[in-house]
Amino acid sequence: MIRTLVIAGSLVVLLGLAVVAVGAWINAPGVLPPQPIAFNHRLHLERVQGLQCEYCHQFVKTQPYAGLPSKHVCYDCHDPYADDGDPEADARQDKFSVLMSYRDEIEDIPWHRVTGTRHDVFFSHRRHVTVAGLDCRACHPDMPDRTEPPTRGPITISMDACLECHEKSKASVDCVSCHR
Amino acid sequence: MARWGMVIDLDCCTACQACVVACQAENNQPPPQAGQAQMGRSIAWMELVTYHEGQYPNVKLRILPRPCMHCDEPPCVKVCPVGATYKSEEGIVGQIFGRCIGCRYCTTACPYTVRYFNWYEPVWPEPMQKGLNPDVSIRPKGVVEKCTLCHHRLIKANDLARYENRPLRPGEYVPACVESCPASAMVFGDLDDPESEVSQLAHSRRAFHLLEDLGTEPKVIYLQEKE
Repeated sequence: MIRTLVIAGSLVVLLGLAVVAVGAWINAPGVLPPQPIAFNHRLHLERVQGLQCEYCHQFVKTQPYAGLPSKHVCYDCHDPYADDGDPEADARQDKFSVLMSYRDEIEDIPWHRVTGTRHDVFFSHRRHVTVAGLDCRACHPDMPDRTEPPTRGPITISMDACLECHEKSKASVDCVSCHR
Repeated sequence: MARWGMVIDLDCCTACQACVVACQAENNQPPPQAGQAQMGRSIAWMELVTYHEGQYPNVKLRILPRPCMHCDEPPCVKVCPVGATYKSEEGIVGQIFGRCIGCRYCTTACPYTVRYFNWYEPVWPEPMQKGLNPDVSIRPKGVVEKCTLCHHRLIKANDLARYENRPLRPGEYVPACVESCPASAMVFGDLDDPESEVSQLAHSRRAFHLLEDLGTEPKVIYLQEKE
């Protein structure tokens, strides 16, 4: 009798946990489509001394948008023609096969944007990075340590967080200076 | 801090409606669907208002381009229960679409009838969809919208000026209607700057406000036609 009760009780608990887990999964930010290349941020920052974010995200200091790297930025280091004519090159280049497949194409690497603002909010990278001098990690804290592209939705920054920082740094808190 | 305003010279205005079209295109205003305009539900932030003066046979048709007046004492702001509309530091009567609950008190309070309620989800014909302005959000069904004095242009101009570490230059921020006017009937600028053309015109003897007796203190000033 007691055994049956224990089993029934554990089943109820397990069912409850499952419901909570499913709920959390549904409410979590959306699942992202896989990136065409499993880019490893940490590896690049470790291997290349002094590599800055703006080497790949080229417009972060000069434009409202940061930009995603074109294939030519990758080819600066991963020379697509370096191994031409080398019989052993195929094996070496295997892990770069996706990157190299764009070598003779007109199209660029179709990265998926993982972060963005609501359609009614204007956000300028150059204003935050160049004028305000914010570090990229202030909004993208885990990016330098990522070993693979994020698979779940982007970080969410609430308006309270924006306002808190704006008030602290005496930036404008006028609604129409961000909302459009 | 600037106090943005506009002067419209009715002597120069040829009623070509370039401002109306420019405003529609710049601010992603959806064209009305069949039957909607008949019900008075079409959206036009900038509109040409016509009225007649005199008795037959001496009748004159007058035409008045009418954007939001961006009043210094805006009646719409006083009635908004959720703070979705407010007067900004620079005098722009802003509308925060995400905050609007669609109660339409403001559309009723506005004596100039420049506020528009979105009765429907906005729809554009296929060829126009790629021409939408990415700098302006698309308003959903159920919110009120109005002329924002193209403040997205101000955001961008401010952004560039701050980046280049200089003050905003005169003429760097101009709304689409003013920019498009082929007759230069519209002048835009800082009303508080005594050097600016707009403030000098605003103090001319021809200057008048629409419905001046209401005390709304509009920042859109008209110059009456010379006889």
